[in-house]
Amino acid sequence: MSDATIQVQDLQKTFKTGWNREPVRALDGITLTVGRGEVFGLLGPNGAGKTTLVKVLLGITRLDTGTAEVLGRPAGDVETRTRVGYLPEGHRYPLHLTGEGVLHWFARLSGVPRAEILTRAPRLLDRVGLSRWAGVRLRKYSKGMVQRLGLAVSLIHEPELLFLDEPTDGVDPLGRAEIRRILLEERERGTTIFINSHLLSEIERICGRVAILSHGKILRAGTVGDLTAQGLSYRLDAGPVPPEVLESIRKVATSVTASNGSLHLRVPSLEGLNACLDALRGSGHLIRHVSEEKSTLEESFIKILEGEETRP
Amino acid sequence: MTKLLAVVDGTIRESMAKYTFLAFMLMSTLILLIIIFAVNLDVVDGALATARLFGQDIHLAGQTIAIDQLVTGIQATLAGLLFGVGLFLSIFATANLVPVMLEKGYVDLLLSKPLSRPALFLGRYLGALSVVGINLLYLVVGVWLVLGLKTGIWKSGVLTAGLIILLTYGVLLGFMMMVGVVTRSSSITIMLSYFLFPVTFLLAFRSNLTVMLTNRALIYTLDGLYWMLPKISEVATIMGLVAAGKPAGSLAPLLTSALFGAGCLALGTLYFTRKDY
Repeated sequence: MSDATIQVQDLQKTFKTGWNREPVRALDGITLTVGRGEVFGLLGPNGAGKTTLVKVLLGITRLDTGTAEVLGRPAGDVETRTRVGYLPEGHRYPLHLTGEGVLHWFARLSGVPRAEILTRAPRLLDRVGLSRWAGVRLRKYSKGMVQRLGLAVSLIHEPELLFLDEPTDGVDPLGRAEIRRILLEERERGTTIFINSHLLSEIERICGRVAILSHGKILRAGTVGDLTAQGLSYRLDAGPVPPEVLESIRKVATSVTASNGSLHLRVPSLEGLNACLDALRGSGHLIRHVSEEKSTLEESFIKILEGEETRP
Repeated sequence: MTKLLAVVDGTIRESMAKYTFLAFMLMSTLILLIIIFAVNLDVVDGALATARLFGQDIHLAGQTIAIDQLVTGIQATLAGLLFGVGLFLSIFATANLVPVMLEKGYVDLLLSKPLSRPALFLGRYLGALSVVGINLLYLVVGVWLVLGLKTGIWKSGVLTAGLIILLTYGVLLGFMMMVGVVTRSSSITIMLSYFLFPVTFLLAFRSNLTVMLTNRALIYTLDGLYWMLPKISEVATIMGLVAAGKPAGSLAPLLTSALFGAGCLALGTLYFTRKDY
């Protein structure tokens, strides 16, 4: 049996939005695998196809061609949904219900037995910090509170797989930290988490692996480290470097910049890095620190998307 | 089954939270209270001797009114009112049930649950039917009970009339669900549902029109529409006769109207099942 929770192969989806309009290809040959217990982040600009992909995996939207499996069953399988939690973007809950009422109702829709609901609901409301608001109607809730309630709704049936579309949307920094804590707890429990988000710093903190989607295609996929690595780029803390030493380093490195007592080097190979270090040490410099330079996920994201834009 | 019941329950709660049904319940309660406390009927030898409303004598001008006729009259009037006003209010109050369900962010949540789309759609239908049924039951059974206890006359016509009104609503609800799922608009659903009333009333009297027409295609079209659409006018007549304790005659209009409702519901379900959200 495959250890993949989500397995997608050459997935295509085209929307025909009107009689006179051109069809829009929302997903164009997506292939990806998400392993059991993994926290996977899907990044992309607006309209990239992130939400469509999640909807296809849940059976809310049907695929045109390709294959998609969730928890070993074809995407959209009704029974599999008992094992899947979902927090959609811009979710709406019945405003006439209280927070507790919403939780109870969605638990019933997920097939949770009544006795279980009665024990799980207060625990979950406490976990998302809404215990005091349990009996208050939703029309009195702030956006952040509704978002936290949404997270509780997605967890009430203790799913094995959790789809979260912009989970921290409208939540203040404290609330975001709370949501992050809950997601990390879920990861510890072994829940597979699939996150769509614009907040790249959040993704960077939570996700093990990410994929960047644009115009329905996956541009890059890998660990956060893979995506943020800048190749053979290093930072050396060695104090002010005299011009003649800098000149000898320039002969080896492909680029050298000095700022605030640090050298930023790009070298063709590890041998090149060591040659630079030898040149520094040979001139009597003490090297305090050498580190591989990485960009933030946001910088990598922009760079990858810009690369796609400029591609002929 | 538990999940289907959860959809029905959710729909009932959602409808009951609306002011329309609250107002209907209050009006029903008011009617019942008036009949209980404000209407005093003195029956002598099976005929109405004196009648008082809010303590004031109603002059019967020497007429002898059989009490069973009076009870039947009140019940038939109530049934007639319910058929018109009750259906009007019910359409107004439940026309948005499907468009609301299809709102982005809500439909996604519902469709991510382990429940088939036909079950979800049917649950919504049964929920709306239940909420109107509860309201009808409250008023119709209440009036039947109060009048029976006050006069000792137990006429079941009004109860059957209540069932016919519920059936008519069920037919219209099937149509509303179909329009709602296709257009996602409460206002279009309301307009088209109300539009059915004059159209079907006109079609019921199409024979008066067809004598003036020479175009055979038009005559066949009118005939076709008559048989396809619900026969609200004939159903209203049947309901009136039943409420008045008279024989209903042919039940064909009821059956063909029910078929229309079932057909609309099936088409709506099919559309909902195949659509991407």
